[in-house]
Amino acid sequence: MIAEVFSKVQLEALHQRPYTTPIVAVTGGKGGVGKSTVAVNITAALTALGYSVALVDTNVEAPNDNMLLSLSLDDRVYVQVAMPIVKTNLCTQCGDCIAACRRNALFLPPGQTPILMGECNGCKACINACPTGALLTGWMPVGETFRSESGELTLFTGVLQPGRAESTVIVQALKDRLAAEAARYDVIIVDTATGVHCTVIAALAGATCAYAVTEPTPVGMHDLERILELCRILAIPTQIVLNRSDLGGWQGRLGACEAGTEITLAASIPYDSVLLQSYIKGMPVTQMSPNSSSAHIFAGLAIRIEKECLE
Amino acid sequence: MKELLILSDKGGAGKSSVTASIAALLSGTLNITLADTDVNAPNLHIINKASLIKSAPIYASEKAFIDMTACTGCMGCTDMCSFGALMRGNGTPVLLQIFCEACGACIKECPEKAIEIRQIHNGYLHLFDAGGIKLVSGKLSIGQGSTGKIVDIIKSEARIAAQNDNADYLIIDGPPGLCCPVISSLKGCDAVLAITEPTMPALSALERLLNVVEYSDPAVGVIINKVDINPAGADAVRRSMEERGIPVIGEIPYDIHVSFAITEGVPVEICFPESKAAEALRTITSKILSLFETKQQERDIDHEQDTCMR
Repeated sequence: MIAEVFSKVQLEALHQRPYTTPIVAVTGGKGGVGKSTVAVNITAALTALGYSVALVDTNVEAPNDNMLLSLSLDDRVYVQVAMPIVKTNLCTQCGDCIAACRRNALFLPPGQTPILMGECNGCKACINACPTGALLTGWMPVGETFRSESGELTLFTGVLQPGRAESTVIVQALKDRLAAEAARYDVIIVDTATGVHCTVIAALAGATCAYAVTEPTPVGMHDLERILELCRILAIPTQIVLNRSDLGGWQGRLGACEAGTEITLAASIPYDSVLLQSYIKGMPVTQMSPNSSSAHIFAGLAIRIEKECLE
Repeated sequence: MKELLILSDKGGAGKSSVTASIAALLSGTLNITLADTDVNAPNLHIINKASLIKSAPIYASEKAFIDMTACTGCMGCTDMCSFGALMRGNGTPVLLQIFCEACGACIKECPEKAIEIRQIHNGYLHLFDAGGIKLVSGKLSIGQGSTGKIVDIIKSEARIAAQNDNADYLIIDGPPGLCCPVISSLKGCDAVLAITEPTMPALSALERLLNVVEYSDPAVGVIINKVDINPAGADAVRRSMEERGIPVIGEIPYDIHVSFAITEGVPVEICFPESKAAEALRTITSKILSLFETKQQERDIDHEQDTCMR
């Protein structure tokens, strides 16, 4: 294992943001454990308490919070990355741009001007390397961000264009868009993608605290340990939400995991067909069936967030 | 040797469970090698209760390094980074390697030549024995990046293992999403099985995934998992696939035995052969090989037409 992935100075830079609104991240490592369900329902429960909430769906490869809320994706803004455009009359065919591109995306046919052939990631190294100004900055779309409103809830959604690799760029663009108006919300809920990679780290950056959603199976526990390790090195206080908690057999392991890491179990959600129906219907269970056991659990989580982050 | 990749844009749809059972069924008559390219959350070895044979560190990530003893704090580099990896710190730049794409744009800007790019450790390669079947797996180290490059290494090792074992099929349990590790997983595979669920979020994710899969033109089949939890949603998936001309080659009912099997660490097919899910998986497995054949026929026809045109 690597001792320290982030130094104190790096952590400060990673978490720095131009607003103080608390950010609660909902994450979990494994896919399909209920991250979006938890994020959407605690958002609904917090709005029911009278708070103005921004929900940020950073799962840009498979965004679905809008579907769980039956909201349309509105107010589109394109996310673009730079690309070189060759002005052939200025090009001296010196080859400096070819040497600058570490991805070998530029090709210089003999006696001709450079052609963009490979996977350009928009770093602009070639444009900066050109001594004659023959490379201009063009822009290529890699995805979109959206902003949808419903009462006290504002949903920010990022969408990666299929076939592109710039998930992290979209997450960063989405968070920049939120930053412009973040001060007007009481709390921000960030729903992350699965995994522990750069996209998830970009989503977790700046989080006040996090909830790691998991299920009591060996795979759930394995992936939980990975996300807890990530949250630890990012210095984000994290609690566990155990979904399908009555699946059986593995609660003991969770206890060991809690003891080993001194991490609290914030809520247990037993399997509930009402919760499944609310997912299918696209309405938070706290609105669809406010008296259901699941609705009570999410209301309890909202009160927990209120006490720990909003007072 | 043919490659079959199991994918789902939405996480938790059942990729690993389906992979484990299909492999168990096919290995009765064919030589199978397994790979797990979900380097964020590799789970196939748990579902198969596989035993680790060997493990090796991976150095597949390139990152910028700043020599702070040479840096004068001019901050020129911070304006050059397009990826948010270089920030203005207190007197010196702060480098967040996780967002660094190793493009080198900052290097040219540094008057002190204090920045260089080096390869760093970012993951592990694992070889498992899953009940007589070789499983090549790997994982991303926590806090590191470049998942696509780890997948490239897993796949190349898996192909070597498959060839050494005279495998008929390399079955790859893929990652969720549709970004770098998915694109790397798709390279060179012959057929893709896309797993989905009968819900709006899962269908929307499936349609996005199919747009990516089409780039590499493999044979494609869809499996609807937990098909009975939402009959209307299942109809929507079937209609959408019919419009796209992609076959739904199987439907698996919701079955608690699948969860029990995961907890046992044994494929549901072996653990609970009488269960509804196991029965559905047997039907699916019997159709998988025809997926490859149909694609081969299509390609043969295309080839003939090309030849005739010439």
